[in-house]
Amino acid sequence: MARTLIDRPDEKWALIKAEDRQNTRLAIFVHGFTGSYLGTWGALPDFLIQNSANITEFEGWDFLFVGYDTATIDNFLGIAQIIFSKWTLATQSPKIDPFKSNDYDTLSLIGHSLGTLGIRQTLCALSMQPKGFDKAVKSAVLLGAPQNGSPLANFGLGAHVAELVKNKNLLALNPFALRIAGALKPQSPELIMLKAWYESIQGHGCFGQPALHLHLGIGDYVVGWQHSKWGSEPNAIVHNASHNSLLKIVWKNGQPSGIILGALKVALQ
Amino acid sequence: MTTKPLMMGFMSSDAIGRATVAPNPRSKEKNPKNSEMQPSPQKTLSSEAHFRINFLRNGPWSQEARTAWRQLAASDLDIAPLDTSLIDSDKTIDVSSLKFPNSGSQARFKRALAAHWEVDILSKHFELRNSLDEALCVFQLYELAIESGYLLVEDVWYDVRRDLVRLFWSKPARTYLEKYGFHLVKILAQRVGVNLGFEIGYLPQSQSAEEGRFAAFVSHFTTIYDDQLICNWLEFLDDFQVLDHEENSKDVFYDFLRHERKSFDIESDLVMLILGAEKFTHHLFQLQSWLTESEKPLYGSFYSYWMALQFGFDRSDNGYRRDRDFVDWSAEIIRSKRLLKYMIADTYVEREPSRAGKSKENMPRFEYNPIGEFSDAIKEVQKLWKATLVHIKG
Repeated sequence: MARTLIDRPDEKWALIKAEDRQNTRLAIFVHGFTGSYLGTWGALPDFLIQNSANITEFEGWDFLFVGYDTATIDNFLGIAQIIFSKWTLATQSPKIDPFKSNDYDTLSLIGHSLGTLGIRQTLCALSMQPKGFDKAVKSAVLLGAPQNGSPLANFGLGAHVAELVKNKNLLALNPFALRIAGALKPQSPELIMLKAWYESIQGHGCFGQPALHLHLGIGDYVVGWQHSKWGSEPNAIVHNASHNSLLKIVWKNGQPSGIILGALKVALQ
Repeated sequence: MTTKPLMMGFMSSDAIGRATVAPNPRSKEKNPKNSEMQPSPQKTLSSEAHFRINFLRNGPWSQEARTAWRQLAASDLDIAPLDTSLIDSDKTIDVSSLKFPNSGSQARFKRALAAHWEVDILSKHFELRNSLDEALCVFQLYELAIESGYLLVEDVWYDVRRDLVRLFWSKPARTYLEKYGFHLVKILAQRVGVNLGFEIGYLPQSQSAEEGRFAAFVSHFTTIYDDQLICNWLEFLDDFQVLDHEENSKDVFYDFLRHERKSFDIESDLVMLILGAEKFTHHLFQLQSWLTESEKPLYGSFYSYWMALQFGFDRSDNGYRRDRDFVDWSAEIIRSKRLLKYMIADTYVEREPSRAGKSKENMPRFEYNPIGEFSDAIKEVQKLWKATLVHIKG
């Protein structure tokens, strides 16, 4: 049976849930810089609506896509707060629609680009976590993660020209620059602090050690694929992919494939 | 650094005031709750349908549509003689045969809504024309939503029939719709049995299992309204004077791209235009990357006005055509002497790959070529545009 889509574009979230069973596991998807709660993931939401009930690894999960206006985000904590608030919405008591029939106790976090840093922040901001959050987190999938920041901050040609024209950073030239773009710069204070914060918490075994799956693209000109390991996490898996094709679903001979599908199957099994 | 408002006025008159197929996302006010479109008094909707319709009616595009509703739409009092039972029925409503108390005022819309290739558009009419385009955005989204199964036609039956009658009671408004080829709106009108005076000849089936694809599309589209760089670029394409310069913005930007040595005191602002062009191209590139071949013309038609302006096309009674008097901005950016000079001088950005357990020598080197990346994206967007052109001609 196909899943049901509950779409709240006004609030920038959408839930894909089973109607014929009460799943207890929830996967939360978080987009990146100037992305959108569903648009970033392209064909994936529709794929999950149509097919997740028939894929063993996915059948026990509901899927929550959350979004934010990048212009309103000051730092990584802003994204973490959105994840916390949506988990609270899904699990709070008394329960509300459309989460009334579910007792979610297991969580997986899936992020793209800037969203992966929000997820890192979520895992180490212990004092902000809702009760039981750390126990619920089973896995995290980080796709196109700007481990070292993004030299181009998603602006490619324009950023390059900006630096050459004025020998200035793009952010200094751009009156429309978003505050969070500063935090994405390589060696930004926010990034250095997040890494240290994350490694400290992880090193002390303070969170439940969710399985972490890091996927980078060799053709990812937005964040690059240099990988500085954060703490004792596993090596990244490097694909022959661009920043966006990490999320692409490909159909071959009637069979779906794609990096994101492979990553989800491993993380949600 | 110079910061200026997005809108500073208008300069040229050759391409101004044309209708949009996609809306002009200038408005930054979010989710106005007082849309001029009237809520349905009768329907009992599921809560899901209610949320969806509410967003499509009151999304960021609705703010600028108010002027059109205020100036062009018949009031509910005007259409009262029509009998709401007719609107709620499945009978065809022939709008051209309806008599309205204010039908004498049609003449004043004739000049304001004329095709730009037939008469010069006066600057005092720009606001109304842009606003009408935004109003039409909702109808287009409705049609795409119905075709994808995101909404059921019966959920919006009453509202759409009434709103089409209210907005298109006048002949100039119907002519505007026809001249500027709002294909999706014409299909929607036929779907709900409102005869606006033109036949489509076919009605696309609703694909009830594709609601997730429309939801992703509209989520992606909405981000344009949050992006000042894209808004700035679209203003530029639409002949707004976005540069603080005595010359026409398009002339200045053209000069900037063409001449490698000439210096400009507003160089930063010109770079912002490159950024905007790049981001808008990237927006369309991302969209086409997950659309199926059959979806590309459908969703592409939503952006046809902007793609036409970016690729140097103009509109006439025969549809879109490449106009050599118009600049193909994508091509200008790709072959810009100034940008090429920068690229050569810098010999591209080289990435130094390093990965745990692998020596650098064993890893392929990755060179970043910004113009190449932009050019690759443009090629894909051009395919989207070509597929769209075939669709809206057909």
